[in-house]
Amino acid sequence: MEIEELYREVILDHYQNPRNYGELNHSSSCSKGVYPFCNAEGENPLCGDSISIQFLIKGDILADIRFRGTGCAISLASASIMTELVKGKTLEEIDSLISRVKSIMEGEKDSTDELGDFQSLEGVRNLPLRVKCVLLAWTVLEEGIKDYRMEVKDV
Amino acid sequence: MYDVYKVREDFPILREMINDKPLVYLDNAATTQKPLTVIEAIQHYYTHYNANIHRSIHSLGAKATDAYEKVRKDTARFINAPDSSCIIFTKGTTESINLISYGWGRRFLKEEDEIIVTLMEHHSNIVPWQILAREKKLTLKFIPLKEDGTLDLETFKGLLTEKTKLVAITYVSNVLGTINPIKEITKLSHNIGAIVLLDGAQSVPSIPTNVQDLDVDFLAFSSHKMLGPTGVGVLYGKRELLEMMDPLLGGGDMIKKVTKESSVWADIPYKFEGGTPNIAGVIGFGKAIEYLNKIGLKDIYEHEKSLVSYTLTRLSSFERIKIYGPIDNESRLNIISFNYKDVHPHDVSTILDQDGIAIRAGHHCAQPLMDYLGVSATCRASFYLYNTKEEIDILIDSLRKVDKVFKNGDRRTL
Repeated sequence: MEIEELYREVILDHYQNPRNYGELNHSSSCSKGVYPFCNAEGENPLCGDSISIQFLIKGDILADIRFRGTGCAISLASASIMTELVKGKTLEEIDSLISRVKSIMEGEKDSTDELGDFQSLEGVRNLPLRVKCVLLAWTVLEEGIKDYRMEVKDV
Repeated sequence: MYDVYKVREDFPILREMINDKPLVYLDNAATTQKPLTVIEAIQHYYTHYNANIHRSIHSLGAKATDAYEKVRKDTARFINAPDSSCIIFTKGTTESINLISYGWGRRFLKEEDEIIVTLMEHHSNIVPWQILAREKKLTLKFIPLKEDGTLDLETFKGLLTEKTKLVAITYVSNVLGTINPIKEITKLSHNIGAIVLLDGAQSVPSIPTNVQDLDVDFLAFSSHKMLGPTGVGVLYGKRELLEMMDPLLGGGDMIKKVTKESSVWADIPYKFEGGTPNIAGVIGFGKAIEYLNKIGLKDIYEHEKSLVSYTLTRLSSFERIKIYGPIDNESRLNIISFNYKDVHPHDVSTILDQDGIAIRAGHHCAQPLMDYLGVSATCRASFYLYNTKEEIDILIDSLRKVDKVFKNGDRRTL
C-alpha cells in the first residue's frame, strides 16, 4: 500500500480541522429547557491516547455532539467523521451504524457505501495494529449510549 | 577498527525485507536482534543435551547443569560481581525488581519508610513500589528532572532523609537516553543508610558495568536487550542482602529440605530460582555475553555515540521536529526521542514502516515522564552495535515524507 492511500486528503482534513471539536455548553444547545449531557471517555492503553465525548439526547435523537482527545490522525479523523455521521440520527440508527463500522473494520465483508467520509478510512483494514485507532471513538460512543440507557431506565 | 558491516553479517534478521524494503531496525531499546551464535546455541541445547538441571544423575543432566552454571559465572564476570552466587536468573528486569520488592521490601520495610525513584523510571521500577507502598503505608518520592532531561540532584539531596530506605533508579532513561550519575547517587544514598537498586536494562548492554565500583546493592537487567533471548533476566545483589531476603517463588529446586510442616530454603542463588528455569534461554544468554565480549563494549559504546551525534545533527535540520532529552552528547546514550509538530508518533511510525524502518511510537511504559514532558507519546529511535549511518540516512529521508503526507499542516482545534 502506498502511504498516500492511507492518509487521504479527507482524513488529513478531518484531523487538521476536526468537526464538532470541544465541549457542549448549555446556553447554545438547550435554549428550551434543560437537557442532560452525557459524557463518555475512553482510552487506548496501548498508546495512552484518549477521547472524551459529550452528547445531548432529545427524545430518541442524538441532537448534538462534541469530542476532545489526543491521538493519531486516524483515531481523531475517525472521531470527527463519526460526529458528523451520528448527529441528528436516532439511537437505533446509531446502534446499527456502530455495529456496521465495527464489522467493516474487523474485515467482515461490507461496503462503506453511504458512510460519507468514513469511506476514506477503509484502507486502515489492511493495518491490523491501527484498526483500534479507528474504533476508539465509536466504542466510547457505544459505551456512552449504553450508560445513557441505563440511567433512563433507572428514572 | 570497528567494522559494523562485518558485525551485521552475524545477524540473519538484518537481511529481512519489510514492505519490500530492507529492514532498518531502530527499536533496540525495546529488544535487540540475535546473532546466529545465540540462535544456534539454543537449537544445539535442544538437539543434543536437553535435560533438567540440578536434579539428574545422568550425563545429559550433568551437561545441561554445567552449561547453565557456566553462564552464571560469565554473567558475574561481565558485571564484575565478586561471586557468581550473587547472580540470580529471573525472567526479566521486571521480575528482578519485583523479587526485591517482595523478598526484601515486604520483609524489612515498615510504615512511614520512604522509597525514592526518579521521574524517568520505566513502569517496572515504579509500579512494584506503588504496590508495596500501599500495602505497607510507605511514602514514594520522585526525583524531578531539569530542563535538559538530566536529574535534579540538588532536589534529590533534599528528598533524602533518615526515613529513606531504598533509592531505586535507572542508569539510562529508556525515553531520553539520559545517563545518570550513579556513583554520586549511590554515595549520597549510602551516607544516610539507604540501599540502592540500579535498573540496568538499558545500560548493561552498552556501558561496561562494574557493580563493585558503582557499589550498588542490587542490579537488575534483561538478556533480550543485549542480544540474548527473551524470558531471561538477571538480579545481582550483595551477598548479605540476598541471604536475608525471602524467596518470591516457593517450589522445586529452591529448598534444602521439606517436611509436611515446613521447609528450609536452599542457599543463594538457588533460593530464588524455584521451578525449572529457562535453561535454553540462559544458555543462549551465555552466547550473547560471549559475543559482546568478543566485539567489546567499549567499541560498541563509541559506535553508538557516533550514531547518536550524527542523528541529532541531521534531525536538527527539521523545523517541525522537537528532540527531548540531553543535547550534550556526553549525558546521552543510544536513544533519541522526538516529536513531529502536530503529527502523532503513531502516524510517523506507520509512514516509516512503509520504508522498512522500525522505531517505537508510544509512551514507552514511562507515563509519569510523558506527563512531565506534556505529551501522550513520542517517537523513539534507539541504536545498537549493528546500526549504520546509511540506515540513519534512510530514516531521515523517510521522515521527510511525513512533511509531504501531512502537508506541513497545523491542527486547528480551538
